[in-house]
Amino acid sequence: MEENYLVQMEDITVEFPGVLALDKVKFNARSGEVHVLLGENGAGKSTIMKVLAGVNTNYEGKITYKGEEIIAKSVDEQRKRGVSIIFQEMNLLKNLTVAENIFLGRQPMTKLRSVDWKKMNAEARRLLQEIHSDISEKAQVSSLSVGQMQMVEIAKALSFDSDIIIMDEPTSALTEKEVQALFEIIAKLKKDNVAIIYISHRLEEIMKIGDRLTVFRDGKYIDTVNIADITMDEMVSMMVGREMTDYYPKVSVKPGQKLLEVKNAKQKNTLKGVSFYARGGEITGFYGLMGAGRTELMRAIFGADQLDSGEIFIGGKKHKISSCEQAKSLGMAFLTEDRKSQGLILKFDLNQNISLANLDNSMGKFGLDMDKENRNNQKLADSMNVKTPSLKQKAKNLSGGNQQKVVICKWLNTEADIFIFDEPTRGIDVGAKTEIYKIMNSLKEQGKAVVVVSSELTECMGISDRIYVMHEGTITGTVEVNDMQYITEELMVGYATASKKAKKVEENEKEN
Amino acid sequence: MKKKINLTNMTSVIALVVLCLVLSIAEPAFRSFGNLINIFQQVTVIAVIALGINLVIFTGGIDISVGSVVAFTGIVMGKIIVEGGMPPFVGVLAALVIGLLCGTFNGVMIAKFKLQPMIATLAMMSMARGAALTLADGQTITGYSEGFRWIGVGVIPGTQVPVQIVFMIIFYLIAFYIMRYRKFGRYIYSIGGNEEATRLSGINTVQYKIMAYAISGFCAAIASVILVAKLNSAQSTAGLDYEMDAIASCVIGGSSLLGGFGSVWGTFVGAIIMIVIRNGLNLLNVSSNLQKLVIGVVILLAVLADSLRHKDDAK
Repeated sequence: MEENYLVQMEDITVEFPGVLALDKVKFNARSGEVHVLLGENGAGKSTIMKVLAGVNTNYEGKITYKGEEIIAKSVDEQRKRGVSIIFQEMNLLKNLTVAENIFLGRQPMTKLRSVDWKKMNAEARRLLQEIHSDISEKAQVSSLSVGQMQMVEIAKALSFDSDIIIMDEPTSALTEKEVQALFEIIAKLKKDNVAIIYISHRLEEIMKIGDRLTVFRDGKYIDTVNIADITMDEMVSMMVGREMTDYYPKVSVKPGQKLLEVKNAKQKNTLKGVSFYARGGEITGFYGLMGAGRTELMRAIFGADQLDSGEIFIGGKKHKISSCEQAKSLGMAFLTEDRKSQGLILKFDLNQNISLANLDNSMGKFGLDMDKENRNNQKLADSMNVKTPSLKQKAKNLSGGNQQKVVICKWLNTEADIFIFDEPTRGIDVGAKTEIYKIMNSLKEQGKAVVVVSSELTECMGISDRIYVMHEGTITGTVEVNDMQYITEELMVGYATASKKAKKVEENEKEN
Repeated sequence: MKKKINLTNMTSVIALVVLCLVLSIAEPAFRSFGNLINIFQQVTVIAVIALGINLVIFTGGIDISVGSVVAFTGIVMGKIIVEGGMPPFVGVLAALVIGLLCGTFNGVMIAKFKLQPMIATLAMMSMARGAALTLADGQTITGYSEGFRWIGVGVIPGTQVPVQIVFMIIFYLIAFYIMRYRKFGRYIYSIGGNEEATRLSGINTVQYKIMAYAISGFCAAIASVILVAKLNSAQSTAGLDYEMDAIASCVIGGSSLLGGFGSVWGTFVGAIIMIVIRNGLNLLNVSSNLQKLVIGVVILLAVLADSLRHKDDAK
């Protein structure tokens, strides 16, 4: 090694059932730099950082830390070595206070071996002040906003006096002011010679604070460059790696009637008057950041949660949707964001999963006909190319992509006209992604209305015919199909972060 | 995976066979035909209660109120038939309706108001027992007509087969068909497998959960009818600890307390195992106090086996 890296990871391979999450990738970081890790969802960014932090201990490869070879065996051990991580998904205990969370498992003790509350609260106060946060250390975490929770996570990471701090999409839920505070903290940490590994999708942000950049794509190492040497466009092409047109097959269909229309949908704290429509033979995209209210909107349309006010029209007729059962009977299908806890019964076999939404298709003369069920389901599974030895396989034994295909099979089994896909390709491999795009296109060709929620900008732009951009419960931008070619990613991100003034791009008034 | 489930079913059957063999050798009286009929007669009440609780357990819930519901419905029936002098079928009907209502009440509390099943049915356990004690006022209600008692003690003409066993087998056949071949059964298992995913698949989970608890209460009432007819008496203290025997039957029979797994026949085998153990211990002159302890150990082992079997699913 000519250079003196604080940490160097080489030939790291991680395999999940059915998916090669990381394929002999490398990564390194120096003290006092911000090293950005960039890539699409499922590229393996979080996976490699979980290896370094000792969360994911099932890896192959070599890690050299402070000049000696180590094996990352546990979070605790890595933390003692000086590696701490701020997770993408919140890891706070909501029923405890801020201070309790920061010092979880290592609360300062009094001589009598009871928790020294005074000292703990004072320490927490000091940490929070350091990051300019006005959150009370005594507040219960459940009362905080997502952004505030993120700040608590950051305070917690700081409390470890780490040499490396990994931040996995730390700004995804922060307000402008909080982001500024975070950047100040990062600048200060750099001065203190801490290495910061920063995972983010936000290119402007990366340009602003990053020193070096490593790009992963589909579990493979692409390149490491100095950020000063490249442009944002170059970053995007490194990340996506191929022409968008190849990756997202487009079929052209003349849009039909409005199958779904929502007017002025409101829900406490989440939706502030959202109106949109989705036509048959068209893919309607919803882009936005985490917490923009897209999932809440879709859940409410499908009857999983209730709207406070607003109107929903299905096929031109107004309906008040009060349950998922009703939504299904009106011809809607809903692929949830979280397939494991909301889409599948993991411990059941594929047959039971696929038939669940429409058992009528499996009914024979004397009730459920298991042979008929298996035949039907096999046809669906074959059409989606589900890779499994048999439909008797339990859902939990399938890879993420195949699980997602099973959920799609479940809904294809119904006679739905309106398909809502909430983050359909999150965390699945490229092959399965393409197959899911194909099925969306085929639904579109059949004249069905497809609504896609996606946080992946390239995907959302590649697959959709029209896009609504949401920010904090409102639609901040609408992009019509004809204008798609003029739209830049920056503009979309601008809408999504509300940094661009909400203005509609040429609405095409003459629908049909 | 299918193999594994079959093996699970087989373990309880194998356990039963081994148990019977051991008892046959240890105590020759166990082998007699009379004792066999005796075992089946004893099993009906618990087996019918277990049938209802089983549905609740399939959904991932629990119902500990059934023992009290047995007492409550028995007392109501006794009051109507013996003290009210009404025809038996009126009393039976009232008992069944009350059982159904108690169960529905549990179901509404749990499915609609999201109470913990253990707590909601604990409340019902106390309420139903209290109602039974108040109504009976310390009395044991006896003196039923021959016709009514036929349900509990009659035999199929020309044979020694008790009618209550025939009833029980019919109930089990119906339950087997519904759980395996009707949508209702599939939904019940699915709720236990993943309630939210089931709801988001457009299934009215609230309704099906209420139905499961309602059926549990209804089965307790049926068991109560058989019990009163058999004993020729209704007591406010009847059915004590029955919920424990019934839950144990389900678990021994392979139903998972996490929900989603289990079979109707497994529960039947589980109920027989429970009774065979009791019967064997009686024949071996083990005191009833010590029997409680033994049964406790058996339940513990069954639950332990359940938790080991479904270790992966708990994640």
